Amino acid sequence: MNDHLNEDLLEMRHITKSFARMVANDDVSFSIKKGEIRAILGENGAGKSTLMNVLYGLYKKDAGTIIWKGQELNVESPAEAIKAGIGMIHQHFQLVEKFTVLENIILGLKEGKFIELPLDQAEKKVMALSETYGLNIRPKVRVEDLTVGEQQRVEIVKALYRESDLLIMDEPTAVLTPQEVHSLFEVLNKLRAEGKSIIFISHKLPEVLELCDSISIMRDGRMIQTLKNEPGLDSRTLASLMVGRSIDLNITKPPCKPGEVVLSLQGVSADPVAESSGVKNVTLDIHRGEIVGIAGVDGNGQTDLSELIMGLRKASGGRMEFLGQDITHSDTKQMRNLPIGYIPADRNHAAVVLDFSIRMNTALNHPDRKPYGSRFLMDFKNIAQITDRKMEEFNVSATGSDELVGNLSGGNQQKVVLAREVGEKVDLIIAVYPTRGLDIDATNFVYETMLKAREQGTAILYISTELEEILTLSDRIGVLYEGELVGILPGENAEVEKIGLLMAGERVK
Amino acid sequence: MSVDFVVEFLSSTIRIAVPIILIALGVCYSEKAGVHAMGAEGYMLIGAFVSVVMTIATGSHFLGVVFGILAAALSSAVFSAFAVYLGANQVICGLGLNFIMLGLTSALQRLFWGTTGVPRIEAMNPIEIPVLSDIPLIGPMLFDQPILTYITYLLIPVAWWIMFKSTWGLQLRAVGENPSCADTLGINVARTRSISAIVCGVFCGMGGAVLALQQVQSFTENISNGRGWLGLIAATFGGWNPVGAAGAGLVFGASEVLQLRLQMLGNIQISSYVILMLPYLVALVFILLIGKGRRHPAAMGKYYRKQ
Amino acid sequence: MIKKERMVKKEKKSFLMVLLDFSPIIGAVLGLLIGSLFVMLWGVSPVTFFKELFKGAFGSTLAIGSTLNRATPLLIIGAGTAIAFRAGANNIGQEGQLFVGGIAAGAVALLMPSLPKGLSVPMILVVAMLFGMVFSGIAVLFRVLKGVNELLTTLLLNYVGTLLLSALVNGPMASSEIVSYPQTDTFGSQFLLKYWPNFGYLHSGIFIALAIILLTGYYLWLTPGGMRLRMTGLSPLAARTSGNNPTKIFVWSMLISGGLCAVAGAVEVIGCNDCLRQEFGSNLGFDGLAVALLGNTNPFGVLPAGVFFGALRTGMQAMQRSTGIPSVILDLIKGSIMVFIMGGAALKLYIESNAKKKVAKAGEKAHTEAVEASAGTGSPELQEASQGGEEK
Repeated sequence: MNDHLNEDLLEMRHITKSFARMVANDDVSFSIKKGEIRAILGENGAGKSTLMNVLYGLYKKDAGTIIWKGQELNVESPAEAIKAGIGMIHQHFQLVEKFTVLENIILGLKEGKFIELPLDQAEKKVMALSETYGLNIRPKVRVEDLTVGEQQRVEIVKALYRESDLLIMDEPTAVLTPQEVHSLFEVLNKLRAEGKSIIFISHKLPEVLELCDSISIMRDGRMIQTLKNEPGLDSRTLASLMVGRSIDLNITKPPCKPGEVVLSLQGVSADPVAESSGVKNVTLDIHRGEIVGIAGVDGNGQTDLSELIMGLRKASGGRMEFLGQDITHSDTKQMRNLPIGYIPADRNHAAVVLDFSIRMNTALNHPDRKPYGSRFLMDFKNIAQITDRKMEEFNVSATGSDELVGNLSGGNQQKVVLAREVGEKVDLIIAVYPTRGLDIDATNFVYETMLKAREQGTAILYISTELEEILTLSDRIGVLYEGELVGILPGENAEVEKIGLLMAGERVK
Repeated sequence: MSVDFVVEFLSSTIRIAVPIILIALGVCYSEKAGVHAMGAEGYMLIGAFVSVVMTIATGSHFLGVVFGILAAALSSAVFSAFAVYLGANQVICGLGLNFIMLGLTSALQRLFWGTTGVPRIEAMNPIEIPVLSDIPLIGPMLFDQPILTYITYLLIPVAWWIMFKSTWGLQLRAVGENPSCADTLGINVARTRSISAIVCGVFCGMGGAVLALQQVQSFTENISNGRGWLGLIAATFGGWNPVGAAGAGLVFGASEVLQLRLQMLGNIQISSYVILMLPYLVALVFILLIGKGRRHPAAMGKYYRKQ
Repeated sequence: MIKKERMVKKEKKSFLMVLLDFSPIIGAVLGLLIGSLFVMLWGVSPVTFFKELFKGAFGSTLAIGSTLNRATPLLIIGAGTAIAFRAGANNIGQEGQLFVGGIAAGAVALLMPSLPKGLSVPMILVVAMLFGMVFSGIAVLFRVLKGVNELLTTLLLNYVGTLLLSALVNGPMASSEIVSYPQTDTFGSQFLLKYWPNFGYLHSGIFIALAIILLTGYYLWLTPGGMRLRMTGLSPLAARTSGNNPTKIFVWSMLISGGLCAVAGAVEVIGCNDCLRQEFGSNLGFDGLAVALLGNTNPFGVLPAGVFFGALRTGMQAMQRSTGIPSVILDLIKGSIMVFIMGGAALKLYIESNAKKKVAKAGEKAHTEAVEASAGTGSPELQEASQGGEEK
């Protein structure tokens, strides 16, 4: 038993972890007490996940020590972390979908290597845990039949079953509905009351203020400050600590001069498939020279909307027009023949062919059209020339235009995509999460490209989950919630709180 | 149709189905753990060959079977080194293995016995199980069989129990469904997978031994002649559940017996070669019935490398 | 915009990596080595093995001709298989398709014996193509309608094709004369290809094979259609996103692949035989599959790979005559080559990803959530076949 209540359960001292190109954790120190809920707040790329992955044994630290329950701990793998009593709940649940809840919980337990599954015994223990913490577990149901919230509770039980004293929760609310968030917080409060410690990773300020005892803020791989959550603390203070500078991109945006309507969505819908929420009755006009940013929590119909416009998804209702021309039922091939630049969300699988050279990726959409070739022969000389020119223009660094795209960094891959999709003048750009996984330089390059296109009179639909960049770039901001466009606000001096509420599904007048 | 005919038909069905059932059981293990079992045919060949050679060499059926199984297990171990640990394409490696075994067994057979062919081996005598074999109909059908058939009877529920009721079975199924999840929980994915693949080799080797020692009573070139594939399809059709797979294997056995009986009738107007197609056509129908309904283990055929 | 240093220096490759770039060749060498060690059981030294093999395959004009004779069908099958593999279609039904092509040749020659000379051979080729397309079309139908992977279907159809041929040459198409081996009546001479007995019975089918190699190579590497086909094999989702229909490309690649394998069968029948015989070219189908892999699923690579396998077969047969080593060792060598090629490719990938992991873990942001690929034909096997074909 650990009865030194004031002693730290976990202390991480001077943790440093760097990857080839960047230092992800720079001398980070951090500690947490028994029965404490600690938020680690920071933007994407601040080093939160790296720190937690080091703790959980997924990454090997370069330097520093971890003190766990008063003793130095060296974890080499998640299994060892679990054994020590550290549980981690990833944003993407680590559950076997086809297994029942019970099977998932007892999977991998080492009590007896080859014995009959202790299902009855486990069920009793699970039900007891479920009772104590109000988790409402249905042990015999298959995980694939559970809601996201239930799956998360299974993950919690899984950790508790392994007698974890510390739960690391990586963006646990990102995938939940407000009601589910509410009941999650109840569970977490009960856990705290029972003496469990929780590390709550988030970038959502109101949630952190509501739940956590103390808040550690990370920025650019460093631990900036740890604050107690006291009545005086407000989001504004946290936000400025988190972002550091008010806006770290010095982007000057000339005023918006919207022209004619380029893309007009008139009550379009698409049926949900698999885990996506589909598109419900979206009405939106995008004008020349305007960036319409679409904000929303991941998985609220962003990819569905872009795929619907590009003809990758069938419209189940409504009408779409491109420069007055009906495109409601155009297929992707027809859409590709329009002057539209499309930057899909899944860069590695949808936007580029990793095993093709930069040249072939440049000619990807129209290998049979001038200047890339004709129906029966591709014009390799021309393609090489065009690619070289575009690489120059878009600052792609590579050994040459014949290098495989798979060998490029994420930023350079995205530049190849940009060069292809918006390298020539287009009337409309649809960009979905275009900066995801990119470093600061490449991110800025994407912004510059978008703004340049805006200057040239291109209409831009910019979809992102990063509110910061939506606020920076957009002339108007739409918010998607479960496939519905729940609000359109002006981008100038946007009301952040209002957008936040809309993103969370609260109707605002 | 007389009762005798039915009993005889079903009893031969069981006898002929045993190798296919054994292979199907093995395939269940390999594929449930996420490893394509394309090499089943090859394991069967080497199992059959070595069991015949060793039976002739030692005069003991038992030793023959043991060595047949060992040889097949060894080849499946080599396969897992390539496919599970190194991550080589499982389909092509499996096919390649089949050719290796075909070449190896055919060549060695000629080396050992020249053109005269492999001598005939004494059959493994059926053992009547007292009491049980006296049950009318079922008795002579099920309980007047050679020993390996009885072992197969036992193996079906055992295989089922291990896969669905034991801790190791849970791990095996987990690495076939979601290897990265299994990995974070401390399960050694590669080891679990290669053990499963070797278990598959063991079953297929035994299947080969049964085919050679109990049915053909000798070794002939390419003795398996597609039975490995039938076992593979039986496992798929049975949803990688040992009991379902055994059931499907029984259907293949029946179709083969039917084909033999039809040929013996002699006076029907269908070409014997068309009749020979029967098991394969049954397999195609099976495949068509499986359709989209039977979802294979999510990570089947996908190489997993520890992060 | 500030002009940055854009060109990155090429990194120096280690010797092993350079070696692994040639994994098909390594595979072939290792496969041969295994064969040469194996023959020691017959008291033949590896050196003698290679000598005899070379002599048997290239030792005389007769040998060279016969090597090319054996290579002819393999080149066609290899090219056809390359098309399927490049598109990510798992066609392993070459054997069955080959026999169906033979049946087509027999059907044309026996049912239309009065076809004029200029039309006879083209007619056989066209009908064989159609037969092959229909036959592989069964697997396509299974896949498109019921979502069944073509792997097992094509495989089973091999047995069906083999037995179908046997049924026909023993039944409806059986020779009216008494013959020792199941076969049809002799074809009219206008149906047979010209051949050169002094040059190992090489027949003019070799030109058909070369034409097919050129055509498929040109299509795959130089035309937009070929690029799209390869794109589909590598990344069906990217193909769909850039405006293609992966299902349509899959269907056509399977059909063409089946058709070409059938053409190989027809060419074999009218080039090497004067009638349709039972199991006229068994093993050619699987040899062709190995040729496609050895040729890196590239028709231009298939050319040397096909000649290699042709030489292997001719050489092994010569060796069987001179030393008594059974030619079935060929299967052992073939299988080893397949395994080693895949092993080499995997090893290369393994080392590369090791190197990449050091570079690429660019912190949190690198955890891009891969949006589940749900392109029309997205099954795991599809990607896998591209891996099989694509020597990544």
